[in-house]
Amino acid sequence: MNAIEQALNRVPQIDGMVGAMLVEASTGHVVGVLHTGDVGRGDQDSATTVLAAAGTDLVHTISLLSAQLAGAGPFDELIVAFRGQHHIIRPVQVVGHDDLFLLVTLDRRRANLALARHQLQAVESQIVA
Amino acid sequence: MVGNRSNGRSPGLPRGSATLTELHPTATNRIHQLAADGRTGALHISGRPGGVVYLADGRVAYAESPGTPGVEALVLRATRPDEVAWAATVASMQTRPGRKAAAAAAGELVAKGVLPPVQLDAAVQSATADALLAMLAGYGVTVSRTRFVDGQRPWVALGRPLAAGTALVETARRLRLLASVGQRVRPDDDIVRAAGAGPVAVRLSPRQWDLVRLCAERRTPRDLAWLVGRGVLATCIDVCELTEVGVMENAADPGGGGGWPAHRTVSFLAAVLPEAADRGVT
Repeated sequence: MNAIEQALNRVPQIDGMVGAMLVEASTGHVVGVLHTGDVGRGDQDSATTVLAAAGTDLVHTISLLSAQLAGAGPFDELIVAFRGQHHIIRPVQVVGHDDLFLLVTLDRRRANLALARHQLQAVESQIVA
Repeated sequence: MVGNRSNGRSPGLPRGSATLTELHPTATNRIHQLAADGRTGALHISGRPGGVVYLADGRVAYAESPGTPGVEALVLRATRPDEVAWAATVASMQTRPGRKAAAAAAGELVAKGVLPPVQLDAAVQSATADALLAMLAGYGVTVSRTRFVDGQRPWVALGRPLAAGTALVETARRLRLLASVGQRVRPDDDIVRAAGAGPVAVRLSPRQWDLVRLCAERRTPRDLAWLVGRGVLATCIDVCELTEVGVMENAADPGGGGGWPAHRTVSFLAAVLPEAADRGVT
């Protein structure tokens, strides 16, 4: 486990969270992963790879959009809702590294989205502490 | 600084370069072999730009290449905001003794805990992945020979060293990204601010503004990477997107972009779904 994964492990339990990862936005490089689900390891790796890549694509598309809608302000949060899961993407500011985002996956049956979003805002400071 | 820009356009990637072993089996096979034997030490790769891969018990602990900023550049840049002084530091790091001195200075800062562990860890992972790509694959990269020095250790290492296979899968993913953005911008292409761009009506991040500001004069993405203390691939992708927004231009291909369709971002999904990437980069 690296320092980033230790930090992700300190994230207080969010109801319904099945996974979290920290990704370098410019390259899509996964710098840390936390799994709380009970899927097989191989499935996790492949799902992590695809999810990180898709999340990075979304972040880049939103950034391009925000560049061209100058009045919209900086990109704050992105929620992707599937029938079974929510994926929440939040940019994370680390001193000297403004290029990371947190991607958290929630089981929709067990999670309260509003509460989870509130809890996630506190997570950022815990990760970079 | 570093790089080849003699003809204004960097050399091409070999066709069908989707897998690394097709490119430089000398180096990748050696890494796999040393990993299988569980060795600890440094694999020195000679070539252009060359570099060193450090292994710990057969796992990749760090990698560095003269072609990419190492952790020392990322760490020192974060603590040295003065741009003129930083440009001088960057120039000094282009020699082996200069880079060694920078590593020593960065090592002291790391030992003092100046950087939060998360930031250091992210920096080591970034620098390692960037260096592996630079020395194993890419535009005009060559490998002439490899030499393993048993027991040699890096000044900084990953908190959790990577299985060699994992590190090379990431390098292959990065190669597909490089090939994709390379249709528009390559690491050693000259980049300029777009003519007449002025104070454009687009919202850029502070990181993007830094790149735009530094491009008042011609610079390559590789030069920019050193000046901002970030990876070469990351900078290439940023520059590619800044050309998309219209604030930068590739001086070798102004207004062009080869086969790059308008209003398209880089596809990270295509880079992890090889069959999709093959359609995109050949």
